[in-house]
Amino acid sequence: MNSPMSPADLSKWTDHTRIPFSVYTDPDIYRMEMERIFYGPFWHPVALIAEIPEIGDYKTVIVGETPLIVTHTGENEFHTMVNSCSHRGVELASEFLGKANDFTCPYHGWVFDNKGTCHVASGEERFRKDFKKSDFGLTQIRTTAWSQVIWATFDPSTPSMEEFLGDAAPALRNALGGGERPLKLLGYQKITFNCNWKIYMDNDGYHAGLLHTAFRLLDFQGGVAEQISGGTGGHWGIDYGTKPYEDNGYLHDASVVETRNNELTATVNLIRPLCQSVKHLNSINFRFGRPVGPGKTEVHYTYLGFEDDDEAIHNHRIRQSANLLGPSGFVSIEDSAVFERVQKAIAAPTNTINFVKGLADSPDGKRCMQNDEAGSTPWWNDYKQRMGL
Amino acid sequence: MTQITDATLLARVDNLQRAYSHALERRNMEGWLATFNNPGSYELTTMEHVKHNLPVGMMLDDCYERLQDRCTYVNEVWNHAVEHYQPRYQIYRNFCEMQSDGAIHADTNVALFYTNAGGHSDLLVVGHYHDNIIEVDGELRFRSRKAILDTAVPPRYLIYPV
Repeated sequence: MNSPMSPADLSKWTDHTRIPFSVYTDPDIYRMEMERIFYGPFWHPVALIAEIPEIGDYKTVIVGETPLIVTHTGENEFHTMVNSCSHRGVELASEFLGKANDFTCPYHGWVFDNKGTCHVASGEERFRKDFKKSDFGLTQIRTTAWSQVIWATFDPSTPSMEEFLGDAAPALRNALGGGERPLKLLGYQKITFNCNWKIYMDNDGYHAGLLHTAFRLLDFQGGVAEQISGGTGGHWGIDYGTKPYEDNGYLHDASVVETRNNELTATVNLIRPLCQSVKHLNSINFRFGRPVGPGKTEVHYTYLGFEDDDEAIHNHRIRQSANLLGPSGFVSIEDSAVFERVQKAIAAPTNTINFVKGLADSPDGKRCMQNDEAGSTPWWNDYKQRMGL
Repeated sequence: MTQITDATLLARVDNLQRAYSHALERRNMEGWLATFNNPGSYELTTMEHVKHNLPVGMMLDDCYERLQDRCTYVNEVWNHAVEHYQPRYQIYRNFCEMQSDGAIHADTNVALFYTNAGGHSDLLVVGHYHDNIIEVDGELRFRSRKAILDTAVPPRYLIYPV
């Protein structure tokens, strides 16, 4: 009988379109991913400017397994720091969103400004003679702002955002309204998916017309646009148009699926390693993900509108955002179900997840159709090499 | 608002709340819908949203037609794909007041446990309800029910209203 590939067997893994189950389950692989991917040359979204719009605002977030504070410190100036006192390691900020010009450690009273500089080291008159507060600032993480998203990376060799995103940049920019029109935070849907983080990324985005019953019931358009892959690790984006919904009588309240203000552009983006952004109908949705061990993934679906929305479109975005495309959304709940059902089944005695559709036309997966599986293969090709597997 | 002390009226409020939970425990979405007035509304959000004044929470049925559509989602649209779970409710009424317009305002704690298809049980969410209840044709109904969760990150996706 076949059995799931053990870690030792990964030396036999030769085909990046056929992924051994153990890549999704092995704790040793997970540890290696932390080092080579999450603390490697990738930009991670840590906040939207809309979450911390005013100077003095902050957000706490975890990237990889590291708790961070993201602060808004000046005109288009942001800092990302490790959320850990440089004295004895205590967490400094515990609120998800807040406002503070400085952070005081609750243990020994050390004080850091919101750029991470240490201003008070309580009792320093009795510290060793060569002690200098300036040596004890919070650990800074390289940070940049791109298209109203604040990104951070642990690796000084990570390329610029444009190079990092490559050909996937335009669709992501479109998903966020073009990058110039100020976004407004509307709310969150936070969820734990009981699946490996790569299962979450493998199984979202490309399947709209295939998986989702609601898409078919409502006769939404799907499956006709092109996946464009590029950048570090094989991000991809789909930029397509939806036709306005014509009420077919299925819903009692069809107004919730109307596309208003002629916002017919729809985009889906997967940004490696663990971020997605979806704009569909009038709902704008940025998804921050983080792995929680090999078998769980926490995702914060973050909903947005625009600061200059009038009351009618603002209220419409709220209704759509709360109901359509989240982890319990009318359209998208099957995503949640599939993520978890894949994870439950990969202990079965067959041994690979297979990406096949679209490879006949697109052997490298860099240009393929919306519902093709080929679009995931640039990522897996990069992953296999990056991980040395 | 004046605190309600009438034991009969309080028992009727409790019965409405139990009817709501009991319907969801039986996956009886029509029974769930029957606890709402027309017009009526349901909202599921979190304390985090309330604290930061954020309008998009977990679910929002802001009219009776949306409540009807939620029944359709659970019964028809999602049924083939989702992994159903067995919900079990523990509710505890904190206070119940009569408003000047004759409606009842109730605040009730809720702890919701679930058992998945494999028979494993855990806590799904904790929070409380803000209810606005009216009497129509001799029956109490929710004019609005807002569930505010202390739980910001549930341990699995939610299928049914809370």
